[in-house]
Amino acid sequence: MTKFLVRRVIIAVPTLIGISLVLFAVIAMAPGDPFADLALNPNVPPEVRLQLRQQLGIDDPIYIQYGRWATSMARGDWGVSFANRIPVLDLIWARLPTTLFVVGSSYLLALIIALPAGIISAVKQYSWWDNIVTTFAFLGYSLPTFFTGLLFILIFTVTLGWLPEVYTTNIQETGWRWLLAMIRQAAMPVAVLALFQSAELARFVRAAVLEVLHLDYVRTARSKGLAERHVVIRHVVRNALIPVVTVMALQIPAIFTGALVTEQIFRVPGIGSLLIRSLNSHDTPVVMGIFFTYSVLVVVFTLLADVAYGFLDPRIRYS
Amino acid sequence: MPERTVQDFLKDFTSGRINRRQFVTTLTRAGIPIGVVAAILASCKGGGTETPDANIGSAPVDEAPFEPKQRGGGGQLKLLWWQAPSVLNPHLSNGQKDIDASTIFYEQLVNLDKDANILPRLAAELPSHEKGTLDPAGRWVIWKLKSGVTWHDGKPFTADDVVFTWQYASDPNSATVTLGIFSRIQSVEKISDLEVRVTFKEPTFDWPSPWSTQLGAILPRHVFGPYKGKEARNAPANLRPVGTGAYKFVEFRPDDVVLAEINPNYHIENRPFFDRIELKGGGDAAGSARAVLQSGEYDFAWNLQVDGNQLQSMERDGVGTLLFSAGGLIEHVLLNFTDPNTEVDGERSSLKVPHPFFSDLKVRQAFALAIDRKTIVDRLYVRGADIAQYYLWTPERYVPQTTWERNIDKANALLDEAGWKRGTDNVRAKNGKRMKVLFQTSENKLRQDTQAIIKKDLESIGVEVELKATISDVFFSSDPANPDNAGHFYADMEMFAESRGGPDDAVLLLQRFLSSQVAQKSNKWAWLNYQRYANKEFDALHAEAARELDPVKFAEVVRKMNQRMTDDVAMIPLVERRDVMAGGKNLRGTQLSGWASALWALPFWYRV
Repeated sequence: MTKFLVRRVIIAVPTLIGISLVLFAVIAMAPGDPFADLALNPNVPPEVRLQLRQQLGIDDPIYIQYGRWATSMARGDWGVSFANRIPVLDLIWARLPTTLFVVGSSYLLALIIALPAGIISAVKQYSWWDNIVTTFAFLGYSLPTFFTGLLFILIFTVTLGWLPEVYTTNIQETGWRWLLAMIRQAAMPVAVLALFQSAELARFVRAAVLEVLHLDYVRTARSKGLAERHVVIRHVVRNALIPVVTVMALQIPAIFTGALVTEQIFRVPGIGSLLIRSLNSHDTPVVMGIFFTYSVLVVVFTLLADVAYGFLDPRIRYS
Repeated sequence: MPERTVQDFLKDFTSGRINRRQFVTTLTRAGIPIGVVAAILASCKGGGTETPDANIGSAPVDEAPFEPKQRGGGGQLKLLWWQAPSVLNPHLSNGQKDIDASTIFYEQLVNLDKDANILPRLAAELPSHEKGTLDPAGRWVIWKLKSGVTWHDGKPFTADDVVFTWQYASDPNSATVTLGIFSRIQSVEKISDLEVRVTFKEPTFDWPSPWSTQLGAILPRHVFGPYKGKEARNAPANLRPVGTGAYKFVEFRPDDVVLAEINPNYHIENRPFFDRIELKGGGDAAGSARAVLQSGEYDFAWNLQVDGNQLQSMERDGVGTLLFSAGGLIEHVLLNFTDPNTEVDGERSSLKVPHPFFSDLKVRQAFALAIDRKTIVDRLYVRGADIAQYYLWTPERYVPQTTWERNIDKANALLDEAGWKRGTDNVRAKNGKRMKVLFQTSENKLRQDTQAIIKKDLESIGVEVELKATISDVFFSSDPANPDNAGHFYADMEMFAESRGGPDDAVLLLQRFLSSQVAQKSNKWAWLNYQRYANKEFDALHAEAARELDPVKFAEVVRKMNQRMTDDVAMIPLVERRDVMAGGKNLRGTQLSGWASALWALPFWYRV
């Protein structure tokens, strides 16, 4: 096991270097610069814009730019934002709590909905319950979040006036009133994300349970005269959920990097909206910081999923 | 207008026979720049320590049943900007969002209201010839500063800060975006604690600039002193501003929200009204409009570049109002005078190869005649926009008077005359060359809809049109390696909106049409003349305007240039655009001005 871990960690290093190289090349090769907004201001002459570009070093060849980024990254220096000279790490830390709260709770909600829904609809295949779940899963999975987001705003903000559409970090309340305001403003983004994720997950859970349901040992359990409840929970679900755990582990990195579209629609100041802002203004250090974090998390969680597999499934042994 | 008549008007004004507005309007219509009119006004009031224009500054233009009589008590004001500010120093701004957010904290010597009247803010009074504070030859100006103004940290505001601001902004090492406007100043000398003399490199009558522009905010020397030059971008105060404004800094979460609270020591009596300000950034323009017009979650939304019909329907049954400000924004089409399809010495659109058909005036005229500007304005902009006939459409003194015409028959006749005959596929051709254009612009729903209308118009005169849209951050970037930007102009036609640097910025702005400013490979395609228009007579007029010190004659020359650009079809003006904002129905005193940041009058905003 230890040997396996060490080998995987050693492989991860060149993988990450490769990822960062490709990412950097793509970002730096993309046309544009952070000063497009100044182009049409007659008070800002073109020489000034050229000088600003030079100062940020974005006119240098890509390999020099990458070398600069990689060496400072190796020293633990993530660089500073082009827009305001704030350290990239500070920007990410400042937004992590919001993203963890919104995306994390939507993920929890999705789990709470999807697990029972998926299991029941598999056990009672083709029942009315299964039909409802499958329909909703199909809808939730095929409706993009920018559509459901706007639909929710139209219904709950414009028509009914129940919920605010702008997510603010400046709530002027304390105690339980603050909590209430937090829940109200998070309700729509969390619901939009949860709808999408639970749909995906429910279909997966249903498929996994169906697969196990017809195996011989389940039939054996039933013929032993065990209660159906017992068969499903102790025998079916335990085994069916092994692949589900892997899928869940691989989705966790996304919780840290936020939801691009949903954060933009509801103005959630999370990592997703920071990424969009940075991409639009060609803020390379910030974009690299976020993407690189994501890559590291993906590599780490893939490893964790593999390890978890070993614990959950006795047939798999890493040695 | 001869000197005697101005004197007569002045008498009428001082005796009260005509009011201030009539006086200002008459004189500015006659071609006298507002700076000069203000100087005359300031001189005739004379004496006194009160600021001569203080009454204008503090009286909201809107008619209101209630006006705050004391400082504070207004609660929180919530502002929504769909682009989020990332830095709070106007001199280092990355765009309008940063300038606006900085305006909450910082102030200029003077502000320009919507009619380009000059209103003192940190200046005690306006300079004038009579008081000897304005050089008749336009070489220098003496500013008297308001006394008793303090920075948010309690230190007094003095002449040192004004001198420092110039040094800071004009230091090339600081890499400020204000380098251009501040480097027209030769020197700023301190005369006394509350007096500075500003000497210009070239004589000018535009003496209020750069202190009147939204970029001309005064910075505190005691805060930014150690951060002049190379260190400029590392100053902590870039993110924690210390200004003189009506609201003090509380918190800034970059790219998200700016929080401010009332400045109890603000230098204008009984102002401001609100206790706290929240400026929330991010999202999209349509969503911002909704949050103010429909749900009323926010009090004010900025820059709503959204389909006019959509805005109108949101406003109709909503809780807010659309607000407009005219700052000379001109949506226009550029025709490439060089050939974008032939490469010479490693560049297309080279000056060495003229365009196969746009080099012919008749073809350009035909294109201008064919485009239906009225439909564009009526159908897409709906309100707050007009058909444009000139590149400079405001102030009035710079605009010649002719009317716009659309005439398909005339356009067809011109193209026939020029030798472009319709082929069997209805597309015109001459010597085997088909009349096909690539028409590019930045990605934006309004622009794409405009492109579609223009495409139909041009097809009706036998032109094949291919449309292209590039996302705006790429389209307007100055990236030399990016062939899709406006400066490379690797297309036949392109469209965007040009904004203005101030009411009297003609010399600066019209550089876009000078032959010496042609964007080419040699200048990394960063220079201003994208369409490669080169006309000796226009260049001569521009040089004449740049030398001219008499405002009346200056206006005459600018009118000539304006007329020439339209006659020569150096570009096709489409729409006189206004900035569109939205405010809650109970918000008053916003006094939006096209010549200043949307928040320039924030100390005077209130709610009823």
